[in-house]
Amino acid sequence: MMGAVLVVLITLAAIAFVAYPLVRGMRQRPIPSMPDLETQAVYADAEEIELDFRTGKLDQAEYEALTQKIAAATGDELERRIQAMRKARKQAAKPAAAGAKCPRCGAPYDAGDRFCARCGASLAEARVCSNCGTPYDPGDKFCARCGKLL
Amino acid sequence: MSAVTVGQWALWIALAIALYGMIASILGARQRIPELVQSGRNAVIAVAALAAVSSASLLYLLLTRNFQVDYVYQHVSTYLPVPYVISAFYAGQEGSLLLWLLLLSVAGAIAVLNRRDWSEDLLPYVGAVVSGVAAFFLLVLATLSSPFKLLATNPGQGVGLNPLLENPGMIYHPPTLFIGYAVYTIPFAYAIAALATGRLGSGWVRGIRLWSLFAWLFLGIGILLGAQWAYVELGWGGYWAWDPVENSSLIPWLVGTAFLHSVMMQERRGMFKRWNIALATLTFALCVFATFVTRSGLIESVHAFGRSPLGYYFLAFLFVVLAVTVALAIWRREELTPKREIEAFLSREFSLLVTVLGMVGIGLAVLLGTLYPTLAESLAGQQLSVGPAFYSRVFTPLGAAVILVIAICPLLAWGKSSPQRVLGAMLWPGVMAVAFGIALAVAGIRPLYAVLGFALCVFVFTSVLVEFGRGWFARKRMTGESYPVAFWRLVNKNHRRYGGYLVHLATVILAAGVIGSSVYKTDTQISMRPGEAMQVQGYTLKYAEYTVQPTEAKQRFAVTLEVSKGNRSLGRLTAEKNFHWNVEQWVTEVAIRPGLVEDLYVILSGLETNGLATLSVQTHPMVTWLWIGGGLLFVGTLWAMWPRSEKKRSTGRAE
Repeated sequence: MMGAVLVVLITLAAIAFVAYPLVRGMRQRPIPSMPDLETQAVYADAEEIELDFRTGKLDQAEYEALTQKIAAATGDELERRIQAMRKARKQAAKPAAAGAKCPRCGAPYDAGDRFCARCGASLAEARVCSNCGTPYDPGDKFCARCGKLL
Repeated sequence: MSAVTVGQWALWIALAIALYGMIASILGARQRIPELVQSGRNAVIAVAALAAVSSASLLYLLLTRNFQVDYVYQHVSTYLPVPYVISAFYAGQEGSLLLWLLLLSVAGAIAVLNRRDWSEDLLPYVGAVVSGVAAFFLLVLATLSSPFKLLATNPGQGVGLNPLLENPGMIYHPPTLFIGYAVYTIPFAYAIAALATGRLGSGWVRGIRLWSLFAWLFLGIGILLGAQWAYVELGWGGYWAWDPVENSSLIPWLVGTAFLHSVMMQERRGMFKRWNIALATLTFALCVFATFVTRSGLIESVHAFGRSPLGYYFLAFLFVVLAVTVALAIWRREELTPKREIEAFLSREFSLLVTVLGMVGIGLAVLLGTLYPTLAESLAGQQLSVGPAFYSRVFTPLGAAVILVIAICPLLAWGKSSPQRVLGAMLWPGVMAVAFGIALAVAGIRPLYAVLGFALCVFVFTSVLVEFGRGWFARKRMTGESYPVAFWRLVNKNHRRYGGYLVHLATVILAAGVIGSSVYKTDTQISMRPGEAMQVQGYTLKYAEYTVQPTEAKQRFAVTLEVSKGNRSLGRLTAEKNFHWNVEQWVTEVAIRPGLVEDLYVILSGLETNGLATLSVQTHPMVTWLWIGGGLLFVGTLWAMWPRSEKKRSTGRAE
């Protein structure tokens, strides 16, 4: 008897827990952010090449060739970010403009869209710290990561 | 009997929820319905909670020694000590599968709760795969292999645990292995998620880095604990016998090792995408296979298939796992096509490829040797067995090659290395190895292949130390820090690199232990009467006393020897051979005196009523090195997993 009661209680609890988001709807919780993966990989590459050179695995010529490659990659990366931010700002200024494109994947979107229909990127103005690139919330005065005045 | 009802029903409810969770997650992700995705995520957590309820029920039934439950009757008795009653949870097939399910669903719940911006798109599919795998185990547990089956009456006394299992090894070894097996589900789930979303870049390999290191560590330590257990308990005179159950745990570890290395290629170079998908899937499939082999008896005989349909369930599941992966990989073949080629033979990339091929090659060779008897039986109708000779013939050259790669790989740079530089870096290790080899040969150590093996170990050991040294001095020169500070900051700045090097050192110590213990083992059979003394392999053994004594569980036969070497007393050793009533079987308890150079290992073969004892006195050189290597493996892997704190990371960036 007690077993049956327990089984019913457990079943109800499990169903309630699983069905809760369907009934209650979705609360958007912020997701912890991390520095961009590609940038991290480039930094890791740079550190590795530095150590390889210092420990004599690479000679001067090889080292310079590789660091130039890295510098080019980092430059591209910075350039790409600046472009993305500029684009985002322009789009925020005239969001209804015909032919607006998603800053991440380039797919066109309609006025009033908040997310890209193709890749799901946010179409709101990218609020990121100009110093370190960390996203911040509206109303923040200082960057939570590097402390720069926003 | 509420516990039986609750335990069994929790499995059924969990099965329904797992199936729902799988569908909800996939549908939610494809149709972009966040509520459904969230519900699917909750389903993963609910399955973990229900698995915990079911496990708690089984544990309760075991601890209350409810013998009407078949599983309790089979594995527990009234006189079994409590720690072994708890370990009886995973002593049989049903409990092992339940433990698998519990660990898998808990790991899955942690994985889906750990949301990061780069994993947000992947997680619904990770949850779907975890739910799907859990559903398979739940189906098997609820229908075929339930630990909650009842006997018609309560027998009042249970069969009890196999006495071979009554060893502390039983408490640590199986759960450690099972954690490794179950956690390998997460890398597999990420691989499928990457294929399903087409996000085959560095995101998913990043998501699984800690998971795969964690699983690999537990699997490796589990294997070593098993080896240690076999060594002290079974009296086979060894820690490894190449039996199917041992092999089946080694294979996923070898393939998992390949995976750890190939992941590095994708993270740093964007290469090996296909390898990573294949290795994540293969490692997981081999873990499932290992669980199945351990508990089904399939390998000993194909007739195990006839006894229970379980074998077909597992084969079907493995087929589905491989078919889904292959189908998704074909669908995503464009994205999986490599964009870069390996530039040069003398590069980190190429040596990593060799590592991956070597580890997978050894793994497949062991798999073939393990499966061969079964295949031969079902195809040719003949019972054939593959002995240690096969394995040593395959393992020795491949193992030597892998060890050599360990020495060379870290010396190479990404991209391309010049031959002069590599040769220059190998100078000191080479000099040390040659000097050591000559010294051993002059000292009369034979056979020559063992000397070569030891020299190779010295080569690798020195080259890893040189790597540490070069980084250390380079940092000291660059920063002007004091030696200790420079060393600490160096190893603390790059946990993965130096953790990996420690694991490489551990591997070499293990390799040396394997060479020493397999080449120089001795075995002397002696017969003694009480009071007599004998010289064996430089040890003096004096027969002090013997015991013949019945207890509730067994008839105990024990012989105690006083051991000395030269004038130095090494204490007393007691070797036992006991007859256990419940299984009507002899079990030996080996007496071991461990040492850094060699272990003295005494097995009681026979004891007559007048005290005449027949003993097998063995020496096992360098076995202790295996345990030291294992400890270092543990430390090194933990170091590689340890996250750098935020503060350190930012100062690291500023430098």
